[in-house]
Amino acid sequence: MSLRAIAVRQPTLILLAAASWAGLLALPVLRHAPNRLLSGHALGLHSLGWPGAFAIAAALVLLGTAFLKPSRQSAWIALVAAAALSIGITVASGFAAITLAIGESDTARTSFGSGTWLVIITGLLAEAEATRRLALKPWARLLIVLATVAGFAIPALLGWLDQLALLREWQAKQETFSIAFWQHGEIVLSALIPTLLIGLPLGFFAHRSARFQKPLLAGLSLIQTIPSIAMFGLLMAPLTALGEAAPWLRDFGICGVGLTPAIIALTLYALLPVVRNTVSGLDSVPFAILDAARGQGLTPTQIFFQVEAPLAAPVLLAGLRITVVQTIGLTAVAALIGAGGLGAIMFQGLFANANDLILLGAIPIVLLAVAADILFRLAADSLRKRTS
Amino acid sequence: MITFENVTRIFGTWKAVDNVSLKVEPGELLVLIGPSGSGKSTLLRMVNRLIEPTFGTIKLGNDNIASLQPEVLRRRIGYAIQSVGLFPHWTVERNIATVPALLGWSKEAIAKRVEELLVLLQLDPARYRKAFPHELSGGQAQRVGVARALAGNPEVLLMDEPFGALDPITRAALQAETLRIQRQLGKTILFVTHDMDEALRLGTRIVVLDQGKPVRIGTPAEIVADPGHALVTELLGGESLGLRRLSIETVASRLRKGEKAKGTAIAATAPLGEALARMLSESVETLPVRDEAGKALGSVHLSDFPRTLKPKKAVKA
Repeated sequence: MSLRAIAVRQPTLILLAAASWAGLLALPVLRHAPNRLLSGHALGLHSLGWPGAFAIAAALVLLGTAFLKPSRQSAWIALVAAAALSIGITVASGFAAITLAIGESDTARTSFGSGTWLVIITGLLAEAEATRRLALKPWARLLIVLATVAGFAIPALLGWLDQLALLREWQAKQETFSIAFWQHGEIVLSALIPTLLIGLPLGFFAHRSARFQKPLLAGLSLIQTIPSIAMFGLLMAPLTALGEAAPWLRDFGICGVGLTPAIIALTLYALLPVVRNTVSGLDSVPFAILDAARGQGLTPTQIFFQVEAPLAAPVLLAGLRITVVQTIGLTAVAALIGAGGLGAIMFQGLFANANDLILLGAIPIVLLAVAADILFRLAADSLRKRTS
Repeated sequence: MITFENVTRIFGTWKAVDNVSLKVEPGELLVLIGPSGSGKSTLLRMVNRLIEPTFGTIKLGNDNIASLQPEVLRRRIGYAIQSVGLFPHWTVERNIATVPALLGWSKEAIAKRVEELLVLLQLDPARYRKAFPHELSGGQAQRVGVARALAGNPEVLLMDEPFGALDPITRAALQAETLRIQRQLGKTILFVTHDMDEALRLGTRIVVLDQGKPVRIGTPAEIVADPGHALVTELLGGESLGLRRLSIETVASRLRKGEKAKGTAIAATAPLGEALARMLSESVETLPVRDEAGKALGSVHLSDFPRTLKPKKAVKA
């Protein structure tokens, strides 16, 4: 093999593969502690036993593909190897945790070490990179994401991961978790409804009136620059005052803490992408099409609903995607003012210094955001297919 | 069919259309031509009330258009524009069906009409009915645009530089199509262009506009024979005016009845240019002339061809 043939062909992949090797060899793979408040002692790669060899094999293949000539075939190999690496090390850690738990007290915790986290993350990034390179159709990307999720979920359902600290926290907090999960979704939806009710008409008027558009978009951009915690704080005082001045409002839940300020703040943040994309979606409809529509005798209402709105929809959907992903993330912060949701679990872990509890709150938030992102992309894609 | 009575349109301080009175006769294809800013498009767009006149009245048949609801009026008038403006999210079928659907035709009637129009515009219904606009070439898109304009069976058709964006070959094909359709359906058409060749080819009459006013109105033959205005001469291409006259005037106009000549006869309806080409290629100065049926009519002589390239009434101006 000539030197050219083994030259570094895929710098992104080689960087990710190298990072995962560093995680495997140089960082602790597991942490074992007598209870969840102690950080415990670090365990190396050898603690994984023979299942660890599977992860190492996957990491070797991944590193190897980085030197291959870029092709669909090598991208598929990299994709499978990367997924096998992330899932493999998770499962190997699960088995190791079961072994470690034998003869230990119930309070003992085995959690992922920094090395395992690094391997899982670089593995998923490498998988994303390989997927991007394959330039697949959205439904195929969705299938890959679902397969990866199943790759983590099936071992968990089989009980292979039960002794990992993250799963232990989940078992202990199952009820709180599922309440928080649905609450999170509820808060996101409650913020989206006023966002659409206010944002769509605002976008429409901003499209029709240039004089209105500039200050509106400037104002909404300004809101985006306010840090979210400051915004929640800012809303507390006036809403508390309002609740005290008119006690009957409190019957509707209007007060300084809880859902009301959270939904108001989330709506304020969510407006910009919705309004901006409504405006640019409507602006993108060519004059010729509107002229033809008027000339054929469509009424202004018919022009809006039959021509402008459907043609602006893909751009609007892109704005909605940004809004939903952003709101899912911001809702975590709303837990600080007592709105609940997955953020509550996250902050509970943060204040108790329990890392696994933080993750129990954070990981579902990330998954929700990724799921929303994929669904909106799919929807936008199916719309665009018909119009462009 | 369309009557403009003292129509003026002012944008700010600019008179786009300046006190125009004009009649478009039923079944006529009236071409509005002029440089950009001459008010030709404004004049056309006032007919379906996309622009309202500042002063004056426009009548469609006996109806003052100002008394009709704009949408109702527009559904009675076909409208085709240069940029076509097909709805990109609708199929060809649904695009063509726009006005019939607005008029509340039955599904069967609409399907039948779409089929008819696709055939009329020489687009294979099986292939194009369900196609989307982005799958069409420029020429096909404009055929669909014209079909859409005709769909509601309008009394009048407004065409605003409909073929301006097409390549010369496609444009010529669609011009021929327009003439055929106009003869076949007898529609009244108001047609805007800045291309004199197109105007001469299509127009029953031509109105030359300059700064919002008609400066010359006449049939193609009249205008070529006597431009009557510097702008018209310029639009006719100055130097090549003589050649244009040869392509507009027919052999019949220079016929020497009953005179005999040798050679293959030329049709009386052929343009003089064709006769000249035959004379040059056959090195003769006379050709026998026949009618459509092939009956001998007389002859045509090179010496009778228009000699002067100067407008007859230039002295008057």
